[in-house]
Amino acid sequence: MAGNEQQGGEHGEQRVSEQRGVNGGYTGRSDRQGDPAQADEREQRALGKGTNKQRYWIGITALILLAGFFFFENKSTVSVNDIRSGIGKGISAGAVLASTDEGTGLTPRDYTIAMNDESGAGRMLIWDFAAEDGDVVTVKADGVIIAENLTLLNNPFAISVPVPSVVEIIGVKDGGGGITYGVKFPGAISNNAYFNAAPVGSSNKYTITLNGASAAP
Amino acid sequence: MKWLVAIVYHPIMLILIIVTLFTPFMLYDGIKQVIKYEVPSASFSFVVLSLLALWVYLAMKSEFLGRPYRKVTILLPLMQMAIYTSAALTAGGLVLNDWADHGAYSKSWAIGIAAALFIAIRLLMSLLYWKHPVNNHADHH
Repeated sequence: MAGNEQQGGEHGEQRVSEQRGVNGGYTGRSDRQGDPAQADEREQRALGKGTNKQRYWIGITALILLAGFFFFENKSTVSVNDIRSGIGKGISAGAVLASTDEGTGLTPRDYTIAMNDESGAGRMLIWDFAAEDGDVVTVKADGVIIAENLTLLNNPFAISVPVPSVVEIIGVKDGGGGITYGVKFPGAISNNAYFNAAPVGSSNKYTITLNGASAAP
Repeated sequence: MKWLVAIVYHPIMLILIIVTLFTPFMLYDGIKQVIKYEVPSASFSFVVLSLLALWVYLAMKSEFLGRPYRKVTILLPLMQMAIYTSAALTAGGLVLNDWADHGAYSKSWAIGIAAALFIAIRLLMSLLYWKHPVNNHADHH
């Protein structure tokens, strides 16, 4: 098209653009597209605006993620002194509260846990909340072994347990300082973690009920 | 003064480039672990992603700090997309962690909500780059 316009050089507009010498007299582009320098400038502005938007949104993302950290992850530190009663309200599974098993001050207890409407099968999370020293337990549900010689770690294990039922955790081997562990039952009405001690040969019982109803014998 | 900032900024940025590119894979693996073993995972951290996003923002904001990273034209856009993907995976992972720890909803619901969150954030990212494409600095002459 530029060539055609050059051929039509009798037109006043063409002569004016040549006289203006926008590109040093070279009119290789069509005048219908306007000043090429201005077109370049518009294009650069558009590109810059796009980059600005990307920068803006990555900055916003950084702020949102920081807010997410304060909202979701900024949990107050919990120590074993806070759970002398054996119940940790709102504590997440896998929480490590002490560096050694000694001096936790926990005595063996039995608990009753009321579950939400989740008849059939539930989950129990069990972990060592103190030192990973090789404590071993066996888990029974209604007298039937469901996990035998389970070595407790700081990372929780998930074990399927029937609901309702009576779950027993029996101490098998003490790695040193006593067998200490934490359990949590996802789906329980109260979002509690339970911290307990199980001397070798003895057991702790967790009576799992369904919405407060009695457990089956 | 800007050189002092650069001395601090660039070594960290070099490490964060590698971290940013690997983070989506690590988060995906964390999500698989939660679904498979049904226990909560500590893999999902907002503060690390926030730091990654901040460093990329500084590279884009400052002509001086970001100059070496603009030489590889794909780098900063790729890092942005990796951060958005990681944020989407973290959001999904939080939902799954909540299910694994509290059991407030069923496993199917947790997976469904996590997938929906991931898809929604990825769609928002696609919308951003559709409306504001990555710059093409090819010579048009």
